[in-house]
Amino acid sequence: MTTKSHDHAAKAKQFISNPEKAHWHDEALWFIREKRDKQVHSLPEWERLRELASQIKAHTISKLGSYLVAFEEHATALGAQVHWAKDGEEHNRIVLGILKNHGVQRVVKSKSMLTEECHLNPYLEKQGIEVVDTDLGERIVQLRHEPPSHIVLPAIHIKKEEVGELFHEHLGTDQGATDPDYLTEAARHHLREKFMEAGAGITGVNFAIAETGGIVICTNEGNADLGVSLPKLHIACMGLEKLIPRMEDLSIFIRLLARSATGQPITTYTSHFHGPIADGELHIVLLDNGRSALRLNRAFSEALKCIRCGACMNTCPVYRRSGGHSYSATVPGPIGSVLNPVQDAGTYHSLPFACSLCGSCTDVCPVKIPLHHQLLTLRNHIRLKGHLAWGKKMTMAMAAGVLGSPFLFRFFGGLARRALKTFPGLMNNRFNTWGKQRDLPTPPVTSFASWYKKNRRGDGA
Amino acid sequence: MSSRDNILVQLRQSTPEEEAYPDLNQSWTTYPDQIVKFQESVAGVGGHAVRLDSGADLTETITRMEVYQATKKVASCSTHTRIENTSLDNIFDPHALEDLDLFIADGSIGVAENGAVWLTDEKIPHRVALFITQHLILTVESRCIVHNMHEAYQQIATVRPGFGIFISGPSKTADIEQSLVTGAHGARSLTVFILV
Amino acid sequence: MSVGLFIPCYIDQFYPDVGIATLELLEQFGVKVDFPEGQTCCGQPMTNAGCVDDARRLAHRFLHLFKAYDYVVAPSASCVAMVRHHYESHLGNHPDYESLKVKTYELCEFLVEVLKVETLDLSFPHRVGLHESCHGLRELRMGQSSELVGTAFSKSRQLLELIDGLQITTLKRPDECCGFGGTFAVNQEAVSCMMGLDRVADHEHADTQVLTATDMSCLMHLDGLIRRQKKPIHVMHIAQILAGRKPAE
Repeated sequence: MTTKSHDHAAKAKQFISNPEKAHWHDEALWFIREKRDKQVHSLPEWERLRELASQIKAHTISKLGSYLVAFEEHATALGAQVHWAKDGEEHNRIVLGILKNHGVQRVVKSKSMLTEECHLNPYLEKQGIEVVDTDLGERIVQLRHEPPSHIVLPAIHIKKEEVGELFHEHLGTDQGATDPDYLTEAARHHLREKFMEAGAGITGVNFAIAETGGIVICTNEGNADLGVSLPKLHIACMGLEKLIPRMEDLSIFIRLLARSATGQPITTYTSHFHGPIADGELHIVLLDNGRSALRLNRAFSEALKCIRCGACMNTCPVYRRSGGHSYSATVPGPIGSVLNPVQDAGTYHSLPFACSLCGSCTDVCPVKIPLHHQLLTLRNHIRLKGHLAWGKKMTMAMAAGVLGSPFLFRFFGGLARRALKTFPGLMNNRFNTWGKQRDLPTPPVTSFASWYKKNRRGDGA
Repeated sequence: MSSRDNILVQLRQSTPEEEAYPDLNQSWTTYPDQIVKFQESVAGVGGHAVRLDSGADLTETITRMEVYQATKKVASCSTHTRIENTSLDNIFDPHALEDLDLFIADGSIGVAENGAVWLTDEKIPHRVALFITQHLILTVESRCIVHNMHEAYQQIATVRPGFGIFISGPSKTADIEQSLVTGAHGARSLTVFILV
Repeated sequence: MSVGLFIPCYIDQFYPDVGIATLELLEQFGVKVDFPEGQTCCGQPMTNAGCVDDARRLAHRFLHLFKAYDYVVAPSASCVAMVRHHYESHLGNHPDYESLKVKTYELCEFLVEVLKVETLDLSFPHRVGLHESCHGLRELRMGQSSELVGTAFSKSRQLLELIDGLQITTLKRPDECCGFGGTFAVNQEAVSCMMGLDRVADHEHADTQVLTATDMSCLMHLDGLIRRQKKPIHVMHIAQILAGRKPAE
């Protein structure tokens, strides 16, 4: 049994209690799914690309150790420094160490879900280092002191009026201003100052190439590049699973990534870094934090193929109507509902049940992770770990008992039908969750089995 | 044992069966005219693609552009035009480029499927110029425009220390209620001159 | 050819006419249909709740009841998906499981693939909204889901298009989930109902008069919402339309 848990259903209910906002959020994300569809349907080879990406990732994961060693060797030969961190805490210590060695007081950071996973910002801030998230969406949630709600579109849950108020307070924009051009311009000037003042740039990594030792970072805004070509110190943080074997593999992944994420054919900037900038330093921090263990967990290891595109979130009918914060996790949505409970079932046991098993996520995943099948399997694992609610377990055991016996089934089925017919109000009341917004079926007089016995079996069959 | 050692030991443990590396040598979408498709793709991502026939003068064409006429500080690392009043060679600290208005550089590959231009910083002393500039002009020779990313990556030399980038359109964001805004942090506009 | 009819638990108890329509429809095509006694449930509710062991007994019962037939047909894509895709852990080693997997069909699949139905002598002059149930679409691949790139097809649509006067309405979101999802319908009631109401609104906007699907579970949920909202949309299982029933007045 759990003491601390994050119940998705309760948070989702709260989100939906503002139906206008819930519909707006749902439409906003569906729009991105439609943009994705348009791009994807213009490429007849799309399903082939997905299959190849899946195979490349599966191959890489099976040989992850040797590819990482090769990556380290090649990156080091180019002049980069490679560090290994077993968990988030060690990752943060390493990053702090590098910054302290260079006397850095101000850092600019481009989008990195990994640094969110490690809670790097509060850690550095406690040490007196200013960390500015430079991706516009990330900056917005940073100023609001809340986590991002989507791994690619961090502020998708925020309306322009709210951004206007926020910027009025923090950036001095006009009160009541909501024009996105005006607000973005204000952010441009504000963040340009931060780029100019920064002593180091921290980025994530989209892909790391084993054969060359290079790393690839994709952005639309150009904030990662600005952040690491003004200050000469670049710290790139990556999960072990970001590796791909060859440069040529990028031809597959770059074609899949932006189309899946935002419905663009490619991000504005796809930067390939081989070694540090002249007179500068490039530090690459490799993070484990459960990834090597996930690799050995056969039922869920395919989740390591994830390239963090967010397509599963955009298509998930539950995510769209409940918002990323309902998942109480750095990575929300379908992929988050696999990754988080696998690592910590006690806290995240509600997530695999925040799913209608529709399978849309599996069909959009560019690397073909069988997400909805993993979510179903995860439910059984959660039960085995003892995290299934007692009520649910008992209900299911009783149901199995009734359904396992034809006699009990017919008996209770008939009883239920007769009760409903005689007392229709029995079920249509506020204690019955089904009946809150739905009518129950009109109870029929007879079951199919009885009808069959009377009308067909009686013929001597 | 260091974390590195611990992690590698864990990764060498009961390895799942090795999955084979697939064959990437396949046929991919090509276009009837990759230059026309490239132009469409550049426009599709918010940039402007202009064909410049072999007789035309790039410098002269640039001087007639609105972005040039509004410019105070222009730098060029392009071999096709000397137009500049600031030389990157004379700058030691890239922070000095804060007020750069217009930057011109040469791309070596254009990609029809997505309007991207590939370039490296081989001829660019301060790569930040590509991002800090208010407006960006890139050139690419028409014979260097390929159909898709597979062809592009085949051409890109693999290991060389340094920086290489695909730039597709101007800097953009849709982080405020999904409204597309160009000029988020990087260039507000991108013009690609296709040199025939 | 001998066909064993599997009638899902809630259809047996609450929607027997769907079972009757299925039976009558198959008989119209000259098929000898048998409804083996002793059947109850395919085990889906338990599996979805994570109680895999409780489902095991039901899987064995299913195999025992149906293994002798040439085909097993059910008016439920989700039950068929359970048998074909999720009985592996219960029946994997059993010698009869492989053939059970291959011969178990959802009703429309059976009509299109085995009976090869190409004409239907029916008239149904109504605007029909086809709800593509997720299990049918993304598990059984009875149609092309909108996420995938490839040639569009849909076995249930194919059959409806054979009916005189029947017009299939055009939806804004052709295959979004209705939100039933089994216990999800109760445990995530708010999201489930919002999803269902959005589907109903899409159909209303498309001028759907009759809403149909291969899965009565989806329809039970949508019908519950439609009747609470007092919307003028009739709900009929596809078996009922194909068997010649008219929308109830």
